[in-house]
Amino acid sequence: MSATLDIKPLVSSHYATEQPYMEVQLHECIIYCIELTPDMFQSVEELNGKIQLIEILESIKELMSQLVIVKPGTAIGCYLYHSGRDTDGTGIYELLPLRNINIGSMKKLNDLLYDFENGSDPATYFKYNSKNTVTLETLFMYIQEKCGVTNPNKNKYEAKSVFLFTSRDSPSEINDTETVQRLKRIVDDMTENFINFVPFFITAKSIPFKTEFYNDVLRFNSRAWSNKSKFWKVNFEPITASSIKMRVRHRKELKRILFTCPLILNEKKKFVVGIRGYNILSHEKPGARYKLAYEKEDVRYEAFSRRKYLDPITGTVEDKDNLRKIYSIGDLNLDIPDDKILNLGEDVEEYASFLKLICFRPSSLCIKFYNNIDKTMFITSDDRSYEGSFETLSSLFRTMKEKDKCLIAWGNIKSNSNPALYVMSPSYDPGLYGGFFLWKIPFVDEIRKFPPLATYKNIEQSTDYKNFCRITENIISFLTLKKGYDPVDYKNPGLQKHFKVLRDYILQTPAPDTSDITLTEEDDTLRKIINVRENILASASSEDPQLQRLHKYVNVWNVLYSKIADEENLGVGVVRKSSKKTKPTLNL
Amino acid sequence: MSAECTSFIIDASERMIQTNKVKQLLRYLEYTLLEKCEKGRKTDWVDCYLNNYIETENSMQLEHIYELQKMEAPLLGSQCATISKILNSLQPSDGVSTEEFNTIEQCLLLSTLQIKEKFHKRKMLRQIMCFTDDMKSITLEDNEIDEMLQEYTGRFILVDCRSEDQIVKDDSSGVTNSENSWYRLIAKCEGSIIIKLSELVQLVDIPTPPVVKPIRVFSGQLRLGADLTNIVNDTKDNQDANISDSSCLCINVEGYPAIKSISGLHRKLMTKYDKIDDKNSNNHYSIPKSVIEYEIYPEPEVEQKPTVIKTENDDDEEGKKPIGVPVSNKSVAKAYRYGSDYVVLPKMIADELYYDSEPGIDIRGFMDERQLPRRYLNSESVFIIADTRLGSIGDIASFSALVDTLLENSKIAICRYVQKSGADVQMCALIPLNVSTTNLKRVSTSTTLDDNNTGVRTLIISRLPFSEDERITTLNEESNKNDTENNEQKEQEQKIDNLMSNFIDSMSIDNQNDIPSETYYQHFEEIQKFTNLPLPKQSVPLTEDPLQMYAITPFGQRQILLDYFHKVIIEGQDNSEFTPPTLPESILQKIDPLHNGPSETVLNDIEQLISMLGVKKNEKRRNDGTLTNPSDKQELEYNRTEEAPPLDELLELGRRD
Repeated sequence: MSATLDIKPLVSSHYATEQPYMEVQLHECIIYCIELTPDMFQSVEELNGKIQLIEILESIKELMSQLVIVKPGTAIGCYLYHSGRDTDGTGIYELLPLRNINIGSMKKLNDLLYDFENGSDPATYFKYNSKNTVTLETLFMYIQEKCGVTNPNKNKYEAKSVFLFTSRDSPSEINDTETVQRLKRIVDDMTENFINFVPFFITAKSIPFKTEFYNDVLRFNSRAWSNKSKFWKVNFEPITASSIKMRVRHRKELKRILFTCPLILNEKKKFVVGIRGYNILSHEKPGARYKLAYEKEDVRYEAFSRRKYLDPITGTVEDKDNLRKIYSIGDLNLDIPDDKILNLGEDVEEYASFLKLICFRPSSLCIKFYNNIDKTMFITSDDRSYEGSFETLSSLFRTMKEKDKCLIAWGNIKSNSNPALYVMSPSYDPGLYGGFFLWKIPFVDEIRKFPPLATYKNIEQSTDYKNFCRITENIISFLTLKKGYDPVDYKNPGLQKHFKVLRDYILQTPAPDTSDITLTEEDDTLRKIINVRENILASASSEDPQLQRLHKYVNVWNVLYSKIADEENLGVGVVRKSSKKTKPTLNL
Repeated sequence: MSAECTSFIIDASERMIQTNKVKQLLRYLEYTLLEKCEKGRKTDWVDCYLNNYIETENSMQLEHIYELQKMEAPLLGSQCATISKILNSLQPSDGVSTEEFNTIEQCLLLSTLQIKEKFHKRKMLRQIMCFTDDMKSITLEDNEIDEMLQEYTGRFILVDCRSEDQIVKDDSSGVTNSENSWYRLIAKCEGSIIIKLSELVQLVDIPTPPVVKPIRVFSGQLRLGADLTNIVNDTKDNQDANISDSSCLCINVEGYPAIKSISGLHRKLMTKYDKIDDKNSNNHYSIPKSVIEYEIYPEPEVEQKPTVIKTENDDDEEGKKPIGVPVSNKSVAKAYRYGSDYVVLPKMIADELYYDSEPGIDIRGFMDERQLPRRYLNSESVFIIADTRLGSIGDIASFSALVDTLLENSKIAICRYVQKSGADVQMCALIPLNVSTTNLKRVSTSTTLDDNNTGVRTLIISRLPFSEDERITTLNEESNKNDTENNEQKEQEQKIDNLMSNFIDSMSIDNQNDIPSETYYQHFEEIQKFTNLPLPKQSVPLTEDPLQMYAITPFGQRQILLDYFHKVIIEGQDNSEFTPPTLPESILQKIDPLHNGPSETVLNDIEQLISMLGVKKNEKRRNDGTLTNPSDKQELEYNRTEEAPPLDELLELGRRD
């Protein structure tokens, strides 16, 4: 079925280029290790009769689809052990070699799942063989080799996670104290090399999974730093097959340093510390990551765009050295040298970039919602540039939090950015973030004026208006989001669509019919919005008089709306006119 | 802004030059004229006369009046430079008491006459700005004034350039009694004013944020509980259906920018030519044509490879630059990244990549404001207001009721927002705000703005993150209390925190002088600016709130531009010797409101803190980071290490203590 698929490689030839748009992120890899046991091939009631192993394999597919959007540079591999399908006699079958997410792997996995769905037997395919036992020691050494710890020729990964899937709580090693000791040492070694285990101990009602052995061997009980460092929050509770996909759901870690600069607390006494700013949000846009491709006959070359400046008369390419940035005032050209276009004063002359304390101020006077201008950043200490930064910021954090104050500072956080005004606030989410939030405050010049209205007429004093407010209040109380807003609940429909089109094309999935059902399936935002209507309609047909009230309020709201609109005509169109322009017709 | 003309009448007498008044007024004049040049309005006319001047040059051959600039719009930069150069070069002419030429009265008449001849009955603001230190420069009888005002339908602005001594002398000698012609002229002519030169010159150092005309960015429906079909389609029928649907709330609204970021002054990319044009030393720049070209780098043919190396004459590897082959943009397509692969889609499928969307705001639900983390807001802000143009009083009332109810209950709304057809779908917060009309009432001519209207309701819309946008921190906690910490450490920590507390208190501005939310946004109509001429009291001064500040970059750059113009273009200073002026006082006092800083005792605390915390600049680092003249490559590498710290370092930080 893939015969027509056109995935010729992009030939970028010998001209290796840096991709300017490529995110500088930690190179992370995720290794799926699945222990084949008879349970794995059992169909499970909770999964509506689906085979457990297939659920796991599907979770890989989902994870890949998700990571390809948010962290396309992540590597994923999948290894099944106690398999007779191995090629090297180890008993470990390499289903997906550890590589950056790529079309080949996705296609292989997709085709395999397709075959299983159409009658092929997973047990036959993976050749589970209880005699082909792989010891944990062998497995762990194998993992280390795969992720480049013991093999210098392999790709290096900065963060390595092993998703260990097993339903067997007592492997043969359990009674061999010497082997257990050795395993613990290997695990310590792996920890040193930043290989972290993420356990998926699959439990069932009939045979609950006992975690003692693995918790001991994988050192989940005794890792001193694990509860202090938030780098990995290891959840080692056993899980049921139906929650596998939930746990696999992976989210982007905060890793991009946006800037580092000194924070000048007191210039006179040189009370200066180093800070680092991180992005906690990135506005992901569809189609932002691409290369240019040139196609000719059978080859596809990577193409590069280049801006050129030509002499308007002769058409010759201008010499870069002659290009200047000029202030143009009418016919006057002022060529002020780049290093003289702004002078922030002697105080800060020695800093290429900086934030300088203006004052501290009560949080209630600083934290406003109605004037946002940009993303918020997250601030921690940078001890590499100034010693004692961590200790200073810790003390600032404690003291500011106790006093409920924010810090106001100004400066240019990057050497090439314009100076701005900032509020720095100790974080107020318990447990989630520890550090400061930093956000920009708009300058007076950035605050726009409120637009003039066609009419300032209002009916605030009328009974109708008071009724309007009461009705509105009731509707609001019916439609209050108890959990507030959690970004996890809303996937970006534009982004999802982009990657779905790419994925469907790569995997040659036939396009389904478009209907309202798929619209809400593909768009979380629409689904949630439609939920509001469902609530109102459900209320209308409800037997419970309490619940019926919502629909009644909505009705009364509409009655009031029309009544007021009819009574107080503004002399303009009561109902808005269509904003779409009609084509001009020729009037002869 | 409507049409206007300004006639600058400058007294260039011996005394004006000697007392440096000409130099002072030149600063204001340059500031004003450069702004006019920059804006380049075709309806902003300017002319300029020198009075009591040795030479004569004007249409009526009136002696000692020199027409520096004929009525012109827009004024060119080079004309501005000419005016400045002449004014700047004025020297005392030994012995000749030029003030005795007494030409100002004649010049006023000349100017009014020329304005009348040039513009006839055209509707425009006419103003004559006269700079002089001689209060006796005109002697007009009342009937003469009346006659003059019949011919001239504008106003006069007298810039009083007298020194303190002169004022005392004039007052005692009765020159400035109520019979003074200037006073009578100003009183009789509507809108006319007298301003002190010093007041005028100060304006140059006070930023005047530009007032941008509100431009609508959204027009559509604010809905709650609309039918899916009427959300994803946006025909007139769908809109009507939402209005008449009794199971859904629907209000006609529009959107205007509320917060929009600005950067520095715009600079144009130009080509510099070495040859200097004789006519105008400024003309050796031209705007190049910008084109985008596509290139590929195919693998060189195998046989060619050795020859390439030979011709390179054994250069090192880096010296070899591959040669690009230009290709047509028609055969270049986007290859989208999918993991480590790049996918080129056939045209048919490529069109499907975009998600169809239609404009509208659909409310998902309501929540307490406190419940929404401030950090979720991640875009510029936009006003959403009831549509008073295409909507009805029903829209205004229902919208106001929604905003009032939200404000009363400290709630906000969560919504799905599509700005226009085909735009990205966003999840947003709607934040209620009441914009006070108290100041507006003073100036507004709207008949519908009566006393019971205390404010206009708006919802401020700001983007919230999607699931894909969020990044989760896994970093060390500053606040992490270490359980294993012993008492001694705790004591030390307490000591540090006490000192820190003193420091924070000494640097605190706690008074509740923040701008009330109701007056944070000004109405566009509140800004009554009917002339382009910078005059005192045109903008509202900033409050004491440290969070209210003028934009540093554009204003700082403007000051430098003005200085550069005067020193390099007018006075002929060498480009390389130019030193940019530092930030003006109006900005300095905002970025350093506690000018004296902490007291001596607190300074001692700071010293103690520094030593207890071990605060020290890491010198090695500094040398790396602040290379005086780093080459591009070095800088690039430096930045790269900044962006991706090794994981072990991050973990190391986490492990500390």
